[in-house]
Amino acid sequence: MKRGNRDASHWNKSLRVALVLMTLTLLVLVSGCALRGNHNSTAGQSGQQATGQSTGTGSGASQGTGSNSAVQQVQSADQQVQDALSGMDSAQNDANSADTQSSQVSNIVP
Amino acid sequence: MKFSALLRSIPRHLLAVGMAASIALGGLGASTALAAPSVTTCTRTDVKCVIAFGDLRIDERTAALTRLNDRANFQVAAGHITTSQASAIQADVTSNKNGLAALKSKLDAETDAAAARQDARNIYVQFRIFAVVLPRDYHEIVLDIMTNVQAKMAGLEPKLQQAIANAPSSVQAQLNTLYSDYTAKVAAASTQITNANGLVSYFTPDNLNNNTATYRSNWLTFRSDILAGRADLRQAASDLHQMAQILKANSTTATPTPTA
Repeated sequence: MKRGNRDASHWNKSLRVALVLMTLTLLVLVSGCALRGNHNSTAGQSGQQATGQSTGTGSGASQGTGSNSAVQQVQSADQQVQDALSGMDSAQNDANSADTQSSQVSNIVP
Repeated sequence: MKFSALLRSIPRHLLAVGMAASIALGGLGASTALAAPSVTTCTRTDVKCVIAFGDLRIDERTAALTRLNDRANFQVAAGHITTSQASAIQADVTSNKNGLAALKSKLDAETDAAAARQDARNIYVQFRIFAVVLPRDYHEIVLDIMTNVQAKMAGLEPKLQQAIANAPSSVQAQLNTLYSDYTAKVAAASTQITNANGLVSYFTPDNLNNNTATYRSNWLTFRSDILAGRADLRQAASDLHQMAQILKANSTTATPTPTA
């Protein structure tokens, strides 16, 4: 009888420990998810801020991500245009050579 | 005998003849360098000679067309013209090569010298590869590049406006002046490109053969339109480059630099 009581109390104790461990694990999981959600919403907010700045007209002092993006696009287009101009020059050289050649052609058939 | 004494002993008229000969020979050298390749002479009934001459002329034109095709492909690979723009050139190359190949077959089969001569004449008159096709198509490549550059520059205008609006107030006046010139030049280039494109279809072998004076006049207009359009694009590109430099230099500044 005494031994039966001792077994029951041992099981009770183990069950409590298991419950506490499960509760702790759940808590850790829930807080982890909450933190991640919070982080995402902060990133979303900063993204919105950047978009807002890029579409706004802004003053001279405004130098946010949006305006920098416009500057970067201008710089990239500048490089592309410079490259295209060199292509245009090379094509014009070909055209000039064709013009020169056309003036030198003889139409005489022997 | 000293050289000066020797010089004095030569009669003056001999010196004059020598100098004239030197000038004449020098001129001959220069004119030989600039002259067209020498033309073969065939006897009246020599069919083979005429065929060989014609085949050579056809080969020269076929090689030149292949080079045109290569140059169009080069510009596509460099991203300066689209495959669709190049396909118009390539189609013209193929059509002319096929026409020349058919003429070569006809020429090679001729047994009469007069008929062979007519075929050889047709290499020039019907195809006009060097006189019409190549100058026109090479200029079309230039026009295609100009069209693409102009479109890119026009499409950039809203971004430039945005970047200028966000720039420090100290540089906005300078940027706006450049921007104003930029838009004017981009618009002017568009007009020149449209005018030049409108003339392209006139440049055909038929028009060169039958309306030579108008052809020549249109060709001069066509070339000057391209020249003016290129100058406009160059100026616009210079404006753009200056704006990009100013924007870059001021893009990291948190506050505008006060003007003196």
